Amino acid sequence: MQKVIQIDNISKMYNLGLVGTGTISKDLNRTWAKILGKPDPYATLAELNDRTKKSTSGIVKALYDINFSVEQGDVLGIIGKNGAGKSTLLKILSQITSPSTGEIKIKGRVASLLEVGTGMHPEMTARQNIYLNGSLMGMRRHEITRKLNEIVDFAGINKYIDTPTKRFSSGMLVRLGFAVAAFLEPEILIVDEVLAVGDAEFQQKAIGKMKDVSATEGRTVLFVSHNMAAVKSLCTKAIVLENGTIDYSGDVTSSITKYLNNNKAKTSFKKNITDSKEKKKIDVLKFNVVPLTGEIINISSGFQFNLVFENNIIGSNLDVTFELISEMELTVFHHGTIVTKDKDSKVGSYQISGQVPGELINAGLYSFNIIFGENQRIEILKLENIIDFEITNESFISNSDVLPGIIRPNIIYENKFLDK
Amino acid sequence: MENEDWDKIIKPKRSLLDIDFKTLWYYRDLLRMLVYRDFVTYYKQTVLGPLWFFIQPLFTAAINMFVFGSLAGLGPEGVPGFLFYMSGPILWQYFQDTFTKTASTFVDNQVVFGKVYFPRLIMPLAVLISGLLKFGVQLCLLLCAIMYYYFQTNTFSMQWEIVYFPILLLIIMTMAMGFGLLVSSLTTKYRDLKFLIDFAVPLFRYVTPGIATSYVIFIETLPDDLVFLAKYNPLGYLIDTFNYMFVGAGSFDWTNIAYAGGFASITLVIGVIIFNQVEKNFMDTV
Repeated sequence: MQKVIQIDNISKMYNLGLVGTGTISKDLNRTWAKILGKPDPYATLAELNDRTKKSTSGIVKALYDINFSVEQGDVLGIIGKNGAGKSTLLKILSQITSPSTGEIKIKGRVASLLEVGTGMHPEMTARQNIYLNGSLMGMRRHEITRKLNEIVDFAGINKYIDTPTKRFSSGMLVRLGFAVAAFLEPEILIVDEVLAVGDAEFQQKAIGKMKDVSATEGRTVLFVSHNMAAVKSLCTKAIVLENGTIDYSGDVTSSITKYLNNNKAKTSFKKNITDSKEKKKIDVLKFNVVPLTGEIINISSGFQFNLVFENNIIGSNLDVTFELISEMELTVFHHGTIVTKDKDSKVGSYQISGQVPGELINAGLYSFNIIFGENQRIEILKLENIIDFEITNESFISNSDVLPGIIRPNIIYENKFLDK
Repeated sequence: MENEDWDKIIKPKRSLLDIDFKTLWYYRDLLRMLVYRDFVTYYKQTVLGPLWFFIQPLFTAAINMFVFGSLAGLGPEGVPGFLFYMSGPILWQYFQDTFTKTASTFVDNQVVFGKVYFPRLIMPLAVLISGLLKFGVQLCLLLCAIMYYYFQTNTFSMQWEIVYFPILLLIIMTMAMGFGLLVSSLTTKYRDLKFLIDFAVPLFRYVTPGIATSYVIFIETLPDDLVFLAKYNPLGYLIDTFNYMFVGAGSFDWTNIAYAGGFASITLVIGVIIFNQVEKNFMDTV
């Protein structure tokens, strides 16, 4: 396969200390402070933006020394935490901003989809907006005319083609925007997390369309998403960005595992005694997950979660809600209990345990969110991603792979041969 | 596999004159759509709709005639005041609209610019052309007014030099865009300029000859210290020439036109060069 994108040595620096503050007077102020040898009066503003720890020089490296190449027909996922540099990389690739060092070589027409429906005007009709949005994306007028019917069909808005888009629902707008983008026919398509919007059916349609584009037409797709399920189903390869550098690159499954492992630090939570200076309303002291039977948590073992927290609210109905989140960031359950039923909460520690039976939840990596509430109305505290743990797989009949799906219940079958 | 022919190479720096006219030409359909958008959506949800195109210059002319002509007694001699007070402001308004809108290109379009790449120069070009449509409509109105006066008073105010009008138009377009591009590049960093422009440009029209009164009377009225304002103001010459062509009150002098033309071209070249440099990284500072 031939290379269609070659990225050499790309870095992007943001000059925190020196970039303009926005007004001439402030800039002059800063220059004056520099002459007098005083500290920069606006430095505190800039420091807050700091994402990495190497900014003593006032420079943040949003991207540092990125090298990779993409071959024709690849569907490359770019994954990483917020602030890892994904969006910066996409912006450089789509020429919205330029790199500080390095060079990118591209073969073929590039279309980037960092947002759907860019530039659409609410006063114009859907038809007019298709032309406007299409030409913004780099389509020629005759191309749009040729594909107009397909676009309208794909978006499912045949009836409303001559209606001003300000009358559209947000879902219709997203569909319209994506439909235009889907028929762009560039050699290279760069997609940011645009699929996060729209209903499930449309997301499926959109992912299907992108799969088609790469599989049957040999196009190259670069896809950035937080939705691991989408990355997994769409991409063949992936790179993991961390703090502006490439942490890992390889096939999609191992990249996702690597990414999830990077984020997985704690399997049980214990409060650090040193950081308890002020009294909080609610303070979690301990949280862990243990198997109901055996040594490890697997599909059949089930698990029990134990929470110990300190309460300083008197005379309320306290409730706690647990959320189990899968590695694809789906909520498996959102379930809770009322701790004190008769407005009789006392200062002190409470322990809560919950049991999730075996033969219910499929294998995979999971995390917990805990939400504390008062009188079932006010949210007092929400702790996200408090621990991570794994439910290990067990083979099913003779299949040792992890089966798809969120749950894996023990379904009782009854099989019979019926007479002809 | 090595020395392959790449279609596009993205590099940190761009040389001063590296303006991609090929891509600009490729995006001509976008230019067309943007102009169309401006035109279609301009007076949407208004009762009078496109009639506003006509109401503005008519009322401006009436007010100007009252303030400058009757109150200040500055009206030009030998030509109908109403025509005079209509022609100057029409041209000025085109300049002002194009200039101020071009000047805020980056700030107004930062959402779109942050999401999709296309040659940024398309945006100011679209402003220039959609303004031209409005200007054209108003020019027709002026021509109607001229015909009306011709039938009423049997004096025809247009001069034969009107054949050079396209040159004049080209110069004023060049100038509006040149200044606009210059300022737009600076406003990405300094928003102060926007406030400066918002009040300075409307004020500037009062020191531009050809709007309140003709060039000659304007120079006579000005205090000697301020005459330079009129003398070096290329816009004044353009409006004065325009007034002469259509209404017969003003002057026609190739030196003045050449001065304005030279001024405009230099501004445009500098404007385009700076704009071209700024467009690459403005997202980081805007």
